[in-house]
Amino acid sequence: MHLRGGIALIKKSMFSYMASRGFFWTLTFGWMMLPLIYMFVWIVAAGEGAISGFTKQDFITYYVFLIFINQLTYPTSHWTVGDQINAGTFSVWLLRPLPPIYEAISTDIAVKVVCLPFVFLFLIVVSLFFKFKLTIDATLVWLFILSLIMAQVLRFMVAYTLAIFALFVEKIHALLRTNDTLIFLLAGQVIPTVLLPDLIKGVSNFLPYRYMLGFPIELILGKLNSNQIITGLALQCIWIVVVILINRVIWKKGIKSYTAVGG
Amino acid sequence: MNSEIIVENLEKIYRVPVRDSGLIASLKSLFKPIYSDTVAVSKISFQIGKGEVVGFIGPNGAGKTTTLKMLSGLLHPTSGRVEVAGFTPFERKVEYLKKISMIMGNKTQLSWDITVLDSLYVIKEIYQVSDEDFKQRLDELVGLLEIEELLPKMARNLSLGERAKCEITAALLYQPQILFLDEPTLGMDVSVQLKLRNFFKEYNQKYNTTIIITSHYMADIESLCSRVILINKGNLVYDGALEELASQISPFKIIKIAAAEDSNPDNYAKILNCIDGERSIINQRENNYSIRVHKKDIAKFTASLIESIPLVDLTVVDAPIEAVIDQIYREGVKQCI
Repeated sequence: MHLRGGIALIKKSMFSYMASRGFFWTLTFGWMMLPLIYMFVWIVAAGEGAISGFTKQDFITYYVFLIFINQLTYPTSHWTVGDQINAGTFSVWLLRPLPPIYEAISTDIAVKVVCLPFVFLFLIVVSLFFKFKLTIDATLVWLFILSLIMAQVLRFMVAYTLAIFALFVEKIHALLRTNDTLIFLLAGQVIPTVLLPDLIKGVSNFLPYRYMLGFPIELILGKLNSNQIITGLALQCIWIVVVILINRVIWKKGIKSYTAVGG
Repeated sequence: MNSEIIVENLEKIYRVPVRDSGLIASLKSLFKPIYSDTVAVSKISFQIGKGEVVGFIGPNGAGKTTTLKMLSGLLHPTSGRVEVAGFTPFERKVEYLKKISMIMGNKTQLSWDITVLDSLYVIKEIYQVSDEDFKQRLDELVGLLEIEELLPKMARNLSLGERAKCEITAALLYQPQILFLDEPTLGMDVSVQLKLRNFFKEYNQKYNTTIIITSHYMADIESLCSRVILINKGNLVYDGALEELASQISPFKIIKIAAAEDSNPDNYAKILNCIDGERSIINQRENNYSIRVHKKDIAKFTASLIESIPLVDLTVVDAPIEAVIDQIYREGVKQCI
């Protein structure tokens, strides 16, 4: 593990983000907009009643957590990785004496560190405005932290693995966008996964997307029984292992066919 | 020779999609793409010793950069053996990557949105350079390349020449043993080119760094390289000294004369009449003429010229290297020799 290099890359990315003010603010608040819109939609839809057991208050709690967890787990670097490979500038990363994944991880850590204070500020304002209330079972907090870390690793690894497909194909954006759309639909962004129609809910329970976002939220909100929690954590583990293995295979094959275009 | 770089039967074949023009062909290619193999480098072999400065020359698409990329480890060869400093480059071992540096004219190591000094700090940390070494090397490079005032600037705000100097500083901060330079002076003005050439020359002498350079500017190659490797259509066609190549290929010299102002307008014909051998006037501007003459006829021709035409100046020079190289690119080495 090359900690010195990693920390230097994190600092570099942080300085970079802060240098482009427009991009920084758009990035910071842009991510919160969509979940906020869905929160408003579901608040209106629920009215004074409930939708499959979700009351107006439940939706507020759910989406406040979603904004927070989405911000923590959303990877940004896969777009850059794909672009760098397709443009041939990835060569610069390959010539360094540390694996290219360091650059991607560092960029993601940097953007989170930089954005997090604003996310907290934003969430405090929203919580006060909507009179946010929550009672959390103390034992769930530890399981939540564990599931959150795994969600983060899984979401990053899936995105990074798809990005390195660029080693084989000349354009990667469509694939990355499909991934984002599937997360949007199946990870609990547009609607909590427990409220999905049975068939789709069944599918989403086995695909990795729910475990990148929706699962930790459902867990901390006490919507899952102990069986569901254990199954969920196990599936997160399994998916992480599977994705890492796929990543290794793609990397080994892809790097052989990398053509380092340009120059 | 203690070889630092060993290349044996190195080959790189790219698989590239091809198709006919038109809508139907492009639809077909969606379902059944057709590929064709392009040989970028074809079974080349050479060895380079420690501290040598070698120029890779050849026309566009000859395979120079592909060879360089295989030597640096960016590309996997299709077949053959390549060993650099005792390592197989494409395995990209950390110890290997710390020994090499590659400067590509069109790619940057510097981060666009942070200051040059911050970028250099990142490189220091990645290559685990100690504070003491960093300070000493930075001071040396900043002095040699005169970039003191560029350090607090963002890389995006630098001119091409300024960026190249900072790029070189970044590439040499960890004192690599082998330097791959791919078109390092591309697009730069004459003074920057000259400065960089002098810098690389000094650096090579001081640290005995092995340097491999590709450049289309023959002045780069002439001033830096004791040896050139000429690659054409993926094949190695010449490996040796540049002067040797030039004298083998071009047995001509150029005689430049300035005739007296009031001289006869029939000078042109007179010059040609001075000798029966192989000669031609390659340039004429007012009373100034450049004449290409075979080396063996120089003495006879010069004497005859002085007798027949009143002259104010006469110089004999070698044929410009660009003209020689152009001849090789067009006609191939074997045909030329």
